[in-house]
Amino acid sequence: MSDELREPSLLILSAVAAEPRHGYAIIQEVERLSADGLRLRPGTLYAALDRLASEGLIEVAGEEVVDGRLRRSYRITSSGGARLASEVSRLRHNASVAARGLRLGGMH
Amino acid sequence: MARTAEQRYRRLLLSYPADYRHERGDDLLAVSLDIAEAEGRDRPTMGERFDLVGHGLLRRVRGWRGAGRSSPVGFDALAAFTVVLPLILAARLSRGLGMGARWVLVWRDVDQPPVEVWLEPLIRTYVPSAIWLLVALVLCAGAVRVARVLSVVAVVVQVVVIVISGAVRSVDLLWLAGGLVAAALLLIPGLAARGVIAVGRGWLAALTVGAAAALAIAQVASPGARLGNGLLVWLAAVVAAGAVGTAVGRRRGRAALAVGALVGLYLLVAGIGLQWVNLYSAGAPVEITVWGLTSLGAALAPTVVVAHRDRLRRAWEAFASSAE
Repeated sequence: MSDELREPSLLILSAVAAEPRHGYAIIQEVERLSADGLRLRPGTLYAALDRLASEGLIEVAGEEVVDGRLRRSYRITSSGGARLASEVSRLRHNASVAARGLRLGGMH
Repeated sequence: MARTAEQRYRRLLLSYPADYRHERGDDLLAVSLDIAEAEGRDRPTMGERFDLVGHGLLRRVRGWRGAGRSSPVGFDALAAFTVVLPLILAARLSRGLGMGARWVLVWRDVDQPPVEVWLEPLIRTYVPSAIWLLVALVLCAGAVRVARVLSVVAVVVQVVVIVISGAVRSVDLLWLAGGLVAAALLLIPGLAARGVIAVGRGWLAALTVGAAAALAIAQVASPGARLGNGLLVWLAAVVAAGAVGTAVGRRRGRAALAVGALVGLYLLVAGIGLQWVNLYSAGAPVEITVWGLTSLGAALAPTVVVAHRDRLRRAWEAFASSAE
């Protein structure tokens, strides 16, 4: 029904799933989580955050000023959690289909 | 050092629209500076420049495309409050409906109370409230101009009733104040029209129907309760239904919150006013709870149906096509 999540959005959603994180912490977590060390740029990050927020998948968890800089943290919403779970099962299915294909190919 | 880095990033952020910058600029700047600091830079990389300017311009294009449809959330909230307020002012019908129900269900078979028991409150409160209900219904139909005229009529009737009755009761003055606020808001050009769009005609109609159902059920379920708690429970049901309906029906979480806050403030003032004039009677907690939950259910049901009407229609179509 709904569009599949693009990789940056998926990783951002994963990054805020465990605990609320602010912008820079999300960038760091996405880099850690992604297989190929994806380093998001600020403009890309905020465009993705805006989209995820407008779809109701994430929300602002809080704001604080640290060292004179605003840190607005985001957390996953319940619908974001459900979306992430369905995405996980979709990816898992695709991966297992691909792995089976590889195994069958190897038998030839 | 840090100042120059900040200035450089701020200049890049100028590519974003002003309202976006106002809302997210500090946040975006903080992240950019965090990254620069971590990488030991005091100026943006070429990649960052393209990234920020590109996304900023994209945001501007989206802003133009959406122009005319989007408006500040605060304005939307006030607009939504404007079209919900007449419904709140119609809440005084609550007791009238209860009396009517009792007349039909109980009194007709037993001894009828004397005419002055119900005639005086009928004129004093129910006529203005009925006009406000009419305003709410007219707004559902999107006829803002008619609603404006009716709101002025309602206020005039409220004043006339107070003058004619001779005795100035504070509770009437309280409702008159509410009426003046509602009429003034409705007369602001464009506000009510925006409110009808922001809330949605379907949702507004559902809210009115739900509120009327809640009202009738509440009064029949608990005919002994007085205006004060009946009013507050009913209003709570309406507000809760409104907030839930708005949240599930549209992605207007913040607008719903703002409307909730505005209505909450209004209720607080009205509630304090009612306490003050000693109309808020302390009913049994169990009674209020049962009453509140029944009202809430009745108010929520049509709201949820309207909010999910697309999904329900799709489900029905799928069901109908599978039956073929």
